[in-house]
Amino acid sequence: MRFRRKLIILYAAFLIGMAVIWGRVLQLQTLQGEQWQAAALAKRHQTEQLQAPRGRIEDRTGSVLAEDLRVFQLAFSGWEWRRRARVSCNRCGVVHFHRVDKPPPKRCACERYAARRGAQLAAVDPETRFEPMPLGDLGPLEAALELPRGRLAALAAKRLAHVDALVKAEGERLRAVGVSDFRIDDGKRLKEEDLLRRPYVLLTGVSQAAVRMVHLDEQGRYRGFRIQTDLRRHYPHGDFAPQVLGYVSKLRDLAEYEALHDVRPDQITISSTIGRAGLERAFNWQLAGVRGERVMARDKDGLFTRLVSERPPRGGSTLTLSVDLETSRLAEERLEDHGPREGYHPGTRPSGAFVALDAVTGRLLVWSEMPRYDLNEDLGKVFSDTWNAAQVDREQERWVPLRTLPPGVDRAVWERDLVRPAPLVWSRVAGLAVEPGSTFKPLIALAALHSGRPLPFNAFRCGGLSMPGCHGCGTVGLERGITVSCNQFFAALMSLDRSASRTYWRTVPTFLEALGIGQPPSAELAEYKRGTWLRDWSDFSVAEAVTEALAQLKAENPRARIEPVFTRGRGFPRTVAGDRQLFISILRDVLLQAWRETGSRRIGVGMTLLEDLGSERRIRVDVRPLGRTSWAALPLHHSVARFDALPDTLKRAGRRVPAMGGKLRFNGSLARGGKVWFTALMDTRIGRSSDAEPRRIRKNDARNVGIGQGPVLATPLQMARAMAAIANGGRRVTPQLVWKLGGQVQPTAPAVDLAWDPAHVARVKAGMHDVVIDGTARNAGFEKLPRHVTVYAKTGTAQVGAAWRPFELPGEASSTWHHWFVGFAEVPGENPIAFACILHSREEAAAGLTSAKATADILDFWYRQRAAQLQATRGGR
Amino acid sequence: MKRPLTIGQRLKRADWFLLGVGLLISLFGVLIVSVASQGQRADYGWIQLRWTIIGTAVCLLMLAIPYRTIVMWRYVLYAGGIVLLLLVLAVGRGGKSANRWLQLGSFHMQPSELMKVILVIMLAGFIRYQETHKTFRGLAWPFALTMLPMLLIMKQPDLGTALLLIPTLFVMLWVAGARAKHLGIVAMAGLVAAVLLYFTPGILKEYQKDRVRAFLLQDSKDKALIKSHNHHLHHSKMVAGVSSFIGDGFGEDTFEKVRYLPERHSDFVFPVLLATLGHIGVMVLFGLYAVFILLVLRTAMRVREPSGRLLAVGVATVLACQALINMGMTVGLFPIVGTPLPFMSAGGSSLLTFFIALGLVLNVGADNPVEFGRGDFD
Repeated sequence: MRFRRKLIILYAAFLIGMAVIWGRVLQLQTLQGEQWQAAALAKRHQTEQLQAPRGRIEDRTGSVLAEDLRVFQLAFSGWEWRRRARVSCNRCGVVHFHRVDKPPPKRCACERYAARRGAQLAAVDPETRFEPMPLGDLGPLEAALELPRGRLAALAAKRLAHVDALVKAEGERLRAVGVSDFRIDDGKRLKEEDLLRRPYVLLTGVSQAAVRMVHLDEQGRYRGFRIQTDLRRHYPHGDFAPQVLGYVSKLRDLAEYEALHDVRPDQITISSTIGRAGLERAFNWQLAGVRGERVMARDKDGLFTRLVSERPPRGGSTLTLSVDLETSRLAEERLEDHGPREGYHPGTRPSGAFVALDAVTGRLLVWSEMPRYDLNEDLGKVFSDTWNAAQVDREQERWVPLRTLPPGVDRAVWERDLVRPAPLVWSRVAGLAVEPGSTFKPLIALAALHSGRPLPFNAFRCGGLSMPGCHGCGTVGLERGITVSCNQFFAALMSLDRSASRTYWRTVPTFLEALGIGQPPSAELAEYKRGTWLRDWSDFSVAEAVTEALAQLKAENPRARIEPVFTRGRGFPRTVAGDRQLFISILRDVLLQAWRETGSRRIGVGMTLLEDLGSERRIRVDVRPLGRTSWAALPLHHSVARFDALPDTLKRAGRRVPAMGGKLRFNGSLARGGKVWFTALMDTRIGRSSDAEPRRIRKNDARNVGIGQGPVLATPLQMARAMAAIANGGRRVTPQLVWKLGGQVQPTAPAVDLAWDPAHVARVKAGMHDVVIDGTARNAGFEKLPRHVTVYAKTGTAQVGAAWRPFELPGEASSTWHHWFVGFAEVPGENPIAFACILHSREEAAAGLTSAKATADILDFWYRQRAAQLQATRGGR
Repeated sequence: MKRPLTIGQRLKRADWFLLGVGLLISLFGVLIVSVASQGQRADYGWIQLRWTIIGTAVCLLMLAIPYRTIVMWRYVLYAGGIVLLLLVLAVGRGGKSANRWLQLGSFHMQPSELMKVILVIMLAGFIRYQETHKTFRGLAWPFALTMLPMLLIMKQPDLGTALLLIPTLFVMLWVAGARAKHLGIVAMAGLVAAVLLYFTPGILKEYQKDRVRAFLLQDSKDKALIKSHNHHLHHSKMVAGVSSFIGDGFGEDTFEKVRYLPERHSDFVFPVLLATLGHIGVMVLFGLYAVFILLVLRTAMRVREPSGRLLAVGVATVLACQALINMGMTVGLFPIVGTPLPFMSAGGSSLLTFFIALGLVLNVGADNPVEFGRGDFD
């Protein structure tokens, strides 16, 4: 090849090389342009998200129930602690900090004020200047923060240790992705710098004194500590209706931030608070406001000091509730005055609720419940941190107690308020459905009348023997039956005449569902599902359930060496209907306790069918260690039968089901010294087995449904809603808590006409009218109400529901009573007010009179004082 | 025999256009280095201008000695270069991660830069008077002469400069008539050896291997990896990626773009050019380089004397390879190596070396002895 040609080839290769480089530049600018533009912008600009204050929640009179307050936080930047040396000016004494890898500053700011130029800086102590601050120097700040001595340093040290751990993990991660040792050190150093530079919040809500101390720290005693501000949700009436107001918490992690940011990019910042329950959750995005944004650019020194643009945050909308805080507060007091001192279980808080709503519009006027907790206390944090799992169970309307103590939670608080079957966070107004008892009778009466089938009898002679609670009501008709709350009348109504009963069994569920029983109350209270109406349980195999319980037990406790010997008792079915998971959960706990307390490897599990009522089977589970004879020292616990109050039912059931005798023998054996040491008695109640099957009352439930027992459960809000329908002549209203949103009145949902015959409504109202005059609530004190107020009501007392029974702890009483009082009050020219009151107790009280007395006081306050005040002010209805 | 030309004659016959293009590139470099100096401790633009003046003077001084005399002294120069490289290893000063400089008063000299030109002179002389390179066995000497300084430079360690000697050797041998087949076999063997050396512990420094890994992982989105591993390349690509067609000029905007680019005044001056003058600047630089190389190669073609030809080709190869590698590494086409952009990057040693090389080429062009090589390499 000629020399000339070779040179041409060389030159061509050079030109091609340059063309390739040019092409690469074009590729970076076009195909990857956006990526590099974004990276460059992130490098040059710093965008700070400005958190918007959440909107306020207030009652109808403007009393603030929840608001955001700006609080000071003490943050800690380990960088300044670890990587800073200090020098002090030998003229003015001000301490300067500089990075240990950079030379100290040459001049001091005091130079500007000094006539003599060039003040020299000298290190305070060259030997120790790279050391952290002596712990003792934090003493005054700790005192201002009301912290024990050494606590602040300990918190800072903990943070530094955490950073070290993260840096170490980063090193491992880099090693795992193939980074060389040479660069791993670089990566770790950068990670450490990044973490240490980022201020880490140590304390929130620090005092003004501490803020001043850190801000005016010229001597650098508190270097590394800085003051930040943040928004904190504050509840001025902290323990008012916490269950319905709900609570908020900060975003849990980056993953949650990213998930929410995808949905609501304008509203979420990394420090946002999110509504976790109640109204805070239901109206989270309306309350959240719109976040602001501040873009800063670097100055010549590379610091982000130049403001490029700023968009201030826009606060969230104010949520005005229709409830009256003052009346609700009074209702809380009255519930506490008239209610029991304790809740269902010894040592627990009293439990009950009162709710009232406008019977025409559905706007809620009073909302009170016990127990309460203060949303400003840490309990809210406990809920937000640990109860997210419970949300799932709430969806299923079943409470599964958390078995482990959450970190940072006081054990006493945990045992009292959290681990219990009826947890503190469940709203007694809208979230907890229990047997409505006799308050169900007006609804049963209306349902029977509305079915189109004539009543099987106009009058019924009540002997007072075959049903508990009846003490010889005499001959009663429908109205009188409601007034005196005759159990026999309504049990007979649902079961005596076969032809009529069958019609009722089919039509009553439909009627009640149309009325709102078993339905979610409204969109804003969607968190509270339908309550439970004719529970939806299905068949399951007992043997399989036992096997699964054992598997779970062994999985959770690998050291447990249990060889169960499972036998089915006489007449025990292969399958039972009920809540399978609940059954497994109980069985697992019982087995575990037996193993722990006896140490026996061989534990016998015996199951006996106690009752088979067709729609309901009750079984007994006997668990005992085999091969041991000393039973006496073991703890004894058993649950009493559910239908103790209905002895005749039991007797008839006992006659029909031979296994019933087992229970009697069981009790007898206890009396003889107890060979069975632990018995868990479970109710398995059966409703419809699938959605495909139309809802209907089963034959053996009929009598119970007639008196508001058996498979029937309802919440106070559902009962108040039903009462509103009676009060307004047969229109179903939707309970509405939010009156205004951002100052705009929220329209109420239109009432649904249920097409009731006014004559039927009149008959039921007549029966309810006499309840407070000469009926079951005649001694409740309603005579003190103003004369123009007419009260229609119904008392009720129901026994404990099965939903709670399984979670009782050993040694606790097991009988629980629900004292109901529901109805409505009318005043000429005004909308009627429907109400429902419930008090839960371990004691039987006369026909719910405690609730009736509390209601009388509340209505008296409302009609004598509050209604007029509200009319005169902006809080008028 | 024809009498040697006087200095005046050489100056008169020198290719002033070539010198002008070289100076133009250098002044263009001064301009870009000045932009890159913003926010830095020293005004590299001013320093670069001083070196340009010195370099021009040295370049003209090179015309004083006939290039054949220089070639004749090749062994002395070569030995001097080797001694300097050994001195670097003995008493040299470290940069960020290597030991490449000799301190001569306030001047930091980088002998490896000088060695590039010395090797070109050595090879030009050696090949000119040998015929052995046309056989496979005969390739051993040129390779041995190249490997010695190369190993010493690698030892500093300065892998970039060391590897740059290889294409120079290959091109000079190929142009001088070595068989492409022989060179191909050697190249393949070298590649295999390089791979083996890479995986042999203790041969390459960890950071040298790391640059290869960084090159392979350059598209990773892992922020930590970028920070720890691809810091230079990431910022360099970012500056190139956000540059506009006509650039942002010499104001604040350019500074904002390049302020986080490390070594922007030296090895990473090409992205600064992109940010400042955009594609217009790239066009100008590429045009100047193309003209410069063309003129050097034209000199090689015009000269009939073989060592002069080889000198010109060697200089063109060093310059072209170094320019391509430098620009390629800033846009992610090559692993990052510490190779400055010829005539553009700040750095006295580099600039001086290229002006010396330019002086050599001018010398070759000016001398143009009437002497014919054996077979004219063909």
